[in-house]
Amino acid sequence: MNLDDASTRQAVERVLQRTAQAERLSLTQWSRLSGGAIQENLRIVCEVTGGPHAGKQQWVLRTDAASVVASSRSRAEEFAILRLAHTSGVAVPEPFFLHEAAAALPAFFVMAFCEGVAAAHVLTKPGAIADPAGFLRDAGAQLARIHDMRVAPGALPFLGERSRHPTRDVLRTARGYLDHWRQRFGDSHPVLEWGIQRWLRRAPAEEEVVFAHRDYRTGNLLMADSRVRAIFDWEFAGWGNPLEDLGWICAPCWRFNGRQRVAGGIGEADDLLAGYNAVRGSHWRAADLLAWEALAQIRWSIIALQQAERHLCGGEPSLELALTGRLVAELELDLLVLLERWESVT
Amino acid sequence: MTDRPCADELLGIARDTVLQQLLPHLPPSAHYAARMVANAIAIARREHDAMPLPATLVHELTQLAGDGADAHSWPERLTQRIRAGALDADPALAGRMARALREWTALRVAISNPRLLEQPPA
Repeated sequence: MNLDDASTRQAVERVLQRTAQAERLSLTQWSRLSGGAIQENLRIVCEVTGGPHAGKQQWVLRTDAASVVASSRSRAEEFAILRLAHTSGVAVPEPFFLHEAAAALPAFFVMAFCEGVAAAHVLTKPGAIADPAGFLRDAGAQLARIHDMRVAPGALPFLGERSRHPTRDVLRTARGYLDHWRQRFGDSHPVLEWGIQRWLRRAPAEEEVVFAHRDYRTGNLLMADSRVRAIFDWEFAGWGNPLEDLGWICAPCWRFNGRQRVAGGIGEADDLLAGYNAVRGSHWRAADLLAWEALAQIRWSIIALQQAERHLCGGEPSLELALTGRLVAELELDLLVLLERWESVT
Repeated sequence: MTDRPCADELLGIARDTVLQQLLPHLPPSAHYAARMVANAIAIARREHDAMPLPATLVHELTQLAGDGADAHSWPERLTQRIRAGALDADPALAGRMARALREWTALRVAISNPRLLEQPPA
């Protein structure tokens, strides 16, 4: 969305004025926030006259970037999730207004702007957080609150049926994508196949299924004063095994500059789990997460292959997408190390 | 006869030019793209210069893949055997599989991100 373009900006102002129940609203400042490749986040400042939001407001406008990934949620769905999370006491930016795609504007929603640092390359450097253990305990507690969220029947209908074996679903979907890749490009991925097979052999017969974030990691957590100020990027949220979220934030692929710091590239898994277990009454230990870190490597590898496919034949030539495809080798190497360690603790 | 500078030499100087002559003059918003260009060139050079897989590794992978697999067909044959559960039931065989895959993958990482190999495992 290009707010430099006057007609776009005016269309947005009209929508916001209506939804903010204001007499007048003008968009006085706008800037791009660093965000994912799939969505666009714009920080906007509005002068609002009249209505419940009168005054100078600093908001975030979140809309679709040029392309979308099939498995991620629409803005309307993400907005509904944010609303539920907010009322459930989870740390999210307060969501205000949703605009469904109409006339010249794509779908977007507006939420509160929160101060803090989310950039993973910054947070995973030593000394970036004054109290990293405290931050991780809070991150664990927040995740537990997400997993404890009650989703009333019909509240989020787009989540679909609550699968009884969400992890097996993830692995079967991964295998299906590898078949697709083989058909399209003629290549197999024996390391990912190996990981999937090892996992399916040992997949638990019963799984706990909760409302899960499914992209809970450094990069999506806004840090202020060594606490989690806000949790971003709910586009993959849905039913899942809670251990999948715990494994994701601890996986090597999400540690950035803190490769030896297991939890989010920031510190010890024990601190994350202490915060998590205290809220949920669970007893997970760091060693329990090895299998789920391996799963994260598999899942992110599949996403990386999807990004590469978008570049190669999805009509979206992009150096960033292309290089993401070349991450797979190192994702697989870490997967193999994790599989070995998982075997050795059981 | 090779026309000089050759492909690898051209890529090398192109990468240096991006980093030393272009990057300092680009607005900060374009720095990430410039570094990606440099990274892509570096990967391409390493891929172009990479040695063939060691014969012992190819032999081991084709053995594990079974069924007359060769240096080109072993990934697909291996996938079929893996999915059939033929390689993970026996711990000794699973160990061979894991070691061979690890050696193969490390050689690929040497092309895409060699600095990772200098660090201890995560």
